[in-house]
Amino acid sequence: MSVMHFNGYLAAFRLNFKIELRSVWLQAVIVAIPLIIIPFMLPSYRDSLRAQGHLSANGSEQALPGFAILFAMFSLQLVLQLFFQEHEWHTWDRMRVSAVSLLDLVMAKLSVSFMVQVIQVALVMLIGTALYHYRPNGSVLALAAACLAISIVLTLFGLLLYIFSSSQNMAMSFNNILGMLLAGMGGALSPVSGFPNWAQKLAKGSPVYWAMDAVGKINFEHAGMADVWPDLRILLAFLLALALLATVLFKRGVQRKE
Amino acid sequence: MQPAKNDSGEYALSCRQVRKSYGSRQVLKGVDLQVRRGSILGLLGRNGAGKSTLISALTGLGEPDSGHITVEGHNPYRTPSRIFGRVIGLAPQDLGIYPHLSVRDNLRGMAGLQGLNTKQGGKRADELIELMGLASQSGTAAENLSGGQKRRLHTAMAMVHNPPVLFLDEPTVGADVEARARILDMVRAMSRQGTTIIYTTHYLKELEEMGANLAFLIDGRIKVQGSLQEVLHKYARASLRISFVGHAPSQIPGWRMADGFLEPDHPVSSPEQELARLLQEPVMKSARLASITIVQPDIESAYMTVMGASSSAPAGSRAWEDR
Repeated sequence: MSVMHFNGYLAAFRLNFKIELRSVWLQAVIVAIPLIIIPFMLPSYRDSLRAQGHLSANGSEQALPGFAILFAMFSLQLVLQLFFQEHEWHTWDRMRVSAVSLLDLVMAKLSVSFMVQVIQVALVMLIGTALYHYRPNGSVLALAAACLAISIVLTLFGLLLYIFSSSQNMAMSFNNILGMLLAGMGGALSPVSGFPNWAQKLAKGSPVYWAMDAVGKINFEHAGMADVWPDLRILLAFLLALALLATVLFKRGVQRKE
Repeated sequence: MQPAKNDSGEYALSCRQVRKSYGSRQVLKGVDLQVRRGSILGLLGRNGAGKSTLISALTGLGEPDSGHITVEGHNPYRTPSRIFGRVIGLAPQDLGIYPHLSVRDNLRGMAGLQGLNTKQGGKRADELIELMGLASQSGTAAENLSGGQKRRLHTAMAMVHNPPVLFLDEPTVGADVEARARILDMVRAMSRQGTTIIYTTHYLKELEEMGANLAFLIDGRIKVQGSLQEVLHKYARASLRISFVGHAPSQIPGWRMADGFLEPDHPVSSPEQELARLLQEPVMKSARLASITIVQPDIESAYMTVMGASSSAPAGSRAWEDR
């Protein structure tokens, strides 16, 4: 990447970051709500995990990462806003004729969204750890890698929602429905091991499943990076597939909104 | 940053046989246009004539189906954004500002996108804030500005990098008197610096004030193009506006009622003779005249002449071609 390219990317990043700062309250709500809900869920998660043989579990092992990921999906509205607002404010054409390439513009928006997602997940995990005594017995580094991987996959998922939706309302509706579906199916709301057999097979179609699978190993099996690598590899495959799809469909998706 | 000049020719912008369709509707049917470097071109046409489509094509936003476009020697669709983006500035027809950002942040943000560093961007933003008369609003969120102030900010954002070619698509729509005056002053100042300006508007007097060259987009083609003087000389016509006390006479051949005034339905070369002919009409004997106004030949009458001719001429007629 040349210096000129990088400067364009940085300028677009700065502008989008400033825009995003104006709705920081929304991110604060997305951090607060899971932390408020978690204590209501802890007893049932604790019983469920203990019934599966994790006798020292206190329920936070399921609740904390599960809700962090579920609400990370809700925060995809940030990706959607960053794109759709440009159309709503009629600034998209300005952006398009600027000296910044379309690729840099898109990457800048995705970077801001990704950064906010990561901060949000990290805050839920850190504050939740302090409040609800979450103590995974595996590697914290592996936990961070799993959180980063699912965050970047979700960010790209947000980009695809933008591409496929003709309006922000439509995209938000898809986000809520698909977010709940993928999170629930992937084991963010309750452990997949408690699902019926057919649902356990179906769960593997959700990227959330692979993140939660990695987290489960880190929670109870002293797992390190090497142990969660197979899950990360599959998340990487999701990432590449979504990136490819977005690359192929982006232009047409944008043209539909112009 | 001074405009980067490409001295490869006298024209800053040139397009040949540009065609663009949306579905089965052909909007641009072979536009040929050349704009001299440093000039102001007023692009005129009725609503829906394709002015915005042409501007989109020229700025790289909507690739034409066929034809050839160069702007300062660059093909908008084959030149990287980091180069072409610095060549042009665009204030689209719809107000395009970031409502939650301050006036200064809007300008600085746009300056960054146009390749100015933080220091240059800040300096240029402050310059434009001053020139546009927005100094006391520089820290105000754009959404809290008045309509005229928003319009000034919107236009200034297109000028932030001193582009060699500036496209202003109806920049004074909805602007108050002060905003309009500021915008026109800025446009003139940019023109004096050598910027080429393509300006669409329905306020024809603005073009007259700026001494712009004119191009009329009619039926998907540029049918008339020339300097203001040339167009005025060839197409501006005097006219008459007559009002009556009580009922106006109706059904006078060659005349029509418009906004309560009786007007000739064709350009007139001698208003006095036309008036004398009208007064000979039998229906005028019983009419009571309230006022008679002789309309001097100006840009509006030239516009009406060109447009009137185009609507009465058969499709594809080249009777009014002036180039």
